Amino acid sequence: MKQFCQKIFLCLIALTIAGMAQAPAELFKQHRDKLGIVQYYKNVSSQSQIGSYIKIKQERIGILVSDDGLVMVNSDVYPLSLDIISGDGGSFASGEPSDFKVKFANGKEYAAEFIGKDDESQVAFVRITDPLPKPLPFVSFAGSKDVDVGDTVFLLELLGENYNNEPIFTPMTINAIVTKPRRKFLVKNGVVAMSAGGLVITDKGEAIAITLRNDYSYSFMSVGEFDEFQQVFMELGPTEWFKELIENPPVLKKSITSSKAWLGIGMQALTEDLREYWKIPAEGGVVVDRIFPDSPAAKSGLKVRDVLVKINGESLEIKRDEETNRFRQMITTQNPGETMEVVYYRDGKKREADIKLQPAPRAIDLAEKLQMSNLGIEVRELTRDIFYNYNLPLDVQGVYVYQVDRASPAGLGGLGTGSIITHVNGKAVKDLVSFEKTIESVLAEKPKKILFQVRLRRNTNFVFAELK
Amino acid sequence: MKRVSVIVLLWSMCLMGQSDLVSLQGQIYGARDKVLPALVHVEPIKKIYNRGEEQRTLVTGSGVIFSPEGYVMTNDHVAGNAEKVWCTLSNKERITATVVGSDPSTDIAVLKLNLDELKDPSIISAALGNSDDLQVGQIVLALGSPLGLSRSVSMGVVSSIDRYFPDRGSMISPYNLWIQTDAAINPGNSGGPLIDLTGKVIGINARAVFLADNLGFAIPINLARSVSEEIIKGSTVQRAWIGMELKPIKDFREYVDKPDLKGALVVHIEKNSPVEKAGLKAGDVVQRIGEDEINASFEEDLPAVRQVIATLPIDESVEFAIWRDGKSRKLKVKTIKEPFNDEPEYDAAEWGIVIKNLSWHIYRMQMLQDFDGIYVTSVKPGGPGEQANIRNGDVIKKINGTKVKDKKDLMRLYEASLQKKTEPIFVEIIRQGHPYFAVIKQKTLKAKNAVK
Repeated sequence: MKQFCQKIFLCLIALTIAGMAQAPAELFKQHRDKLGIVQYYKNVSSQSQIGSYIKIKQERIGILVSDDGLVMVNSDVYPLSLDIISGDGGSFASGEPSDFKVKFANGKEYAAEFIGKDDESQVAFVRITDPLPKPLPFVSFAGSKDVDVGDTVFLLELLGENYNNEPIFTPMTINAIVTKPRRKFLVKNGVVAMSAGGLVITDKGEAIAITLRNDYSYSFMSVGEFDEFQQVFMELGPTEWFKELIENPPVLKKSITSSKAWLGIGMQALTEDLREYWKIPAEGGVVVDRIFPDSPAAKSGLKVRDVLVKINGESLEIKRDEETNRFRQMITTQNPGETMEVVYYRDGKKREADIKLQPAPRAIDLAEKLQMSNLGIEVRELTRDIFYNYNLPLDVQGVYVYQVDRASPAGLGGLGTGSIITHVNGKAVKDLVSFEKTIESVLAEKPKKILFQVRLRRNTNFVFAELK
Repeated sequence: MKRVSVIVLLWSMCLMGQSDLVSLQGQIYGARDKVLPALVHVEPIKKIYNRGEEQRTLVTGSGVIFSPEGYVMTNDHVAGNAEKVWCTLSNKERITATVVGSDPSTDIAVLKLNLDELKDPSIISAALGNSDDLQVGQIVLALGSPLGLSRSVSMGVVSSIDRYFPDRGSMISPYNLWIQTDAAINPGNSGGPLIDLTGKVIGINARAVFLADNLGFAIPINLARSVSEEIIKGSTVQRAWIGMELKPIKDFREYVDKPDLKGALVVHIEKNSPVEKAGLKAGDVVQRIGEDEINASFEEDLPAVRQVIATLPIDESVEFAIWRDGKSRKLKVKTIKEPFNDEPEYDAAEWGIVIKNLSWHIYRMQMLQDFDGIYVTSVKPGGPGEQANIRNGDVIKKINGTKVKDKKDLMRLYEASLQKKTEPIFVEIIRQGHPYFAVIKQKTLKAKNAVK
């Protein structure tokens, strides 16, 4: 009994110490070595030579999250879209990043490789590949459920090259907590650090969040009018966003599909007025205004104008178009392959359906590519985003023109990026392989001109590439 | 003796040079005197909509009187869809004119002066020349109101007579080549005449290029004249449409190694168009349309081919001779009327939106499947349209389940909804190629006889 009481007593002391606020200087010292600089090269396609890339050195803040060298960094290190539902399309002309390295304050430098990323949580992972002399000190994140407005937190970040990448430690107050579409913290902005991806710790020394990218969020209202910029605040992404990802890091697979679940509808909110007009007894929902061909939604028989009001028993309280993001999140956070129960209204009648989600198809960014510097083009296999963006029927075959050198035979002939080559010298092009074969056989005949039959948006065109 | 004769020769050469100059000056004066009295400083007042608010704006341009009845030729971009037009004649008398009609495809508009406002209704009209006879290097004068400075004359030469601009941007000229000149042309010259030294109008000045020197463009008078005559006859120009895009044959000719192949290469067939129904395909070579032999070796030859198509009789079958895979064939194509009519915007004020008939630009941008509908040009902030989430560029296809074909349809439905106080208005839209649904709740309808 006495022993038991002692144990309880010791436990209580331990808990009290753990729960006690610590001196900021102590906190800084404890975590300082767990941050490193992730250095890599961004590869931007050269505008004048297909297949050559301009290398641009980049640095980001990395956080060690395991003793064997797993480093978490902001997802912007890998700008390519993994699938048709993530990414913002800002990756055009970007090649894959390369030559990853992680540098620490003690001057140690290790080669590393890119593992994968999750755009939704704004995190990517690189792993040190050089042998490590000993296990490294790493951050283990604690839950952030108890964090409240008014709490003091400390931001541990690194400064840019001008300041020799010294660490910077800033006390902050949680100024606001937003819960929709996903819980995150806001603090008054004072960004001076090298990049997003800084560590946020409480005054008790618990790591609870990371700093997010300052994406300008504006919405298009009408011509020349934008919502105010949200740059006054810095956003902090709490542990819950990436805790599981650290345990089970996403692995970049260049397979046909991604790991995100996909339903395949375009939607608008069930506004109060629409709800009233259609007399739908629900608090909100999403109106299907587009069905992507060959998607889970298409296979399930959903139709344009159907109104989804409940998924997996949860009511969709979506009344404004801006809130439809919440629905997207509800889908992408499910496991692909999972079956989802949907309650919807069609022509005023309530219906139910079980829809089996699918992994989102791969986007053009990661499509197989073929670079032909003699013609001055980079072509890629057709991916679903191309069909969907241009409203093309799925039976269109060909290759997608991703890049063209202006001064090349193709460029001079007027071939433009974004076109789909459907025929070469009258022979139909099925895919990348058939394109390569056809071109080879055409070139073997040493013609003066090659005729590309192309499709740009809905128009067809003929482009003659002169090979003199 | 020899020396004397050389001096005489030199002296006579000097005299000749001088007399050439004197005669050139004389010709310039002569040409000026013939056309300047017919020059008009044109100030149309146009109704425009800015964020759903009706506003009026004053435009400045030029024009030229070309008939004793008081018809004035100017540009569509100067006077098209104007509510009222002020014209200042060369004697500085200011009168009003009405817009007879205009044609955006060629940028020509015709006005009629209200001659009864004149003290002396006899006016001088300019003679129209023949733009087919123009030569590069020929001296020309541009008359008009550059930057509003009325009755200005500038001089230059014809720099090019076959300038072609592809169908994009503001230089669209599907049916004509441009006359390029280095005679100074500035904004405000638009609609004014370009004349030769005999005092005949050979072009209508229409474009200047910003940040460039001495690059002005005029519409050849032969096209301007035929368009103006059509406008006077029926206020618009009716054109036939068949739905294909062409390219010059040159590259294709070399590709198939048939140096004598004539025609124009079909590169695009519009869905559900007359040519699709007739069985034409991309890759065909069109060699004859009706009676007209077609041969477009270079892109400069394309406007003439388009003109042949546009002037075909509407709703009639025309025989096309084509070349496909080495064989000649004949097909019948039944023409239809050009699908889109440019008409002034319409303010559906109680709905807080301003609408307009569709155009090719909107048709392509919104990936439309047919030619029916109207599009929203302006949404009034805080109005019912904005509250229903309607945006600029939205194409309205149906209202309360009824199809909207064009502006007239919408006006009818709108006015009926005001009368019947229909509430709410369910609108089916196409936005970026996809459906969108909106519900407009009209403001509490004010009684027409409410106290103002």
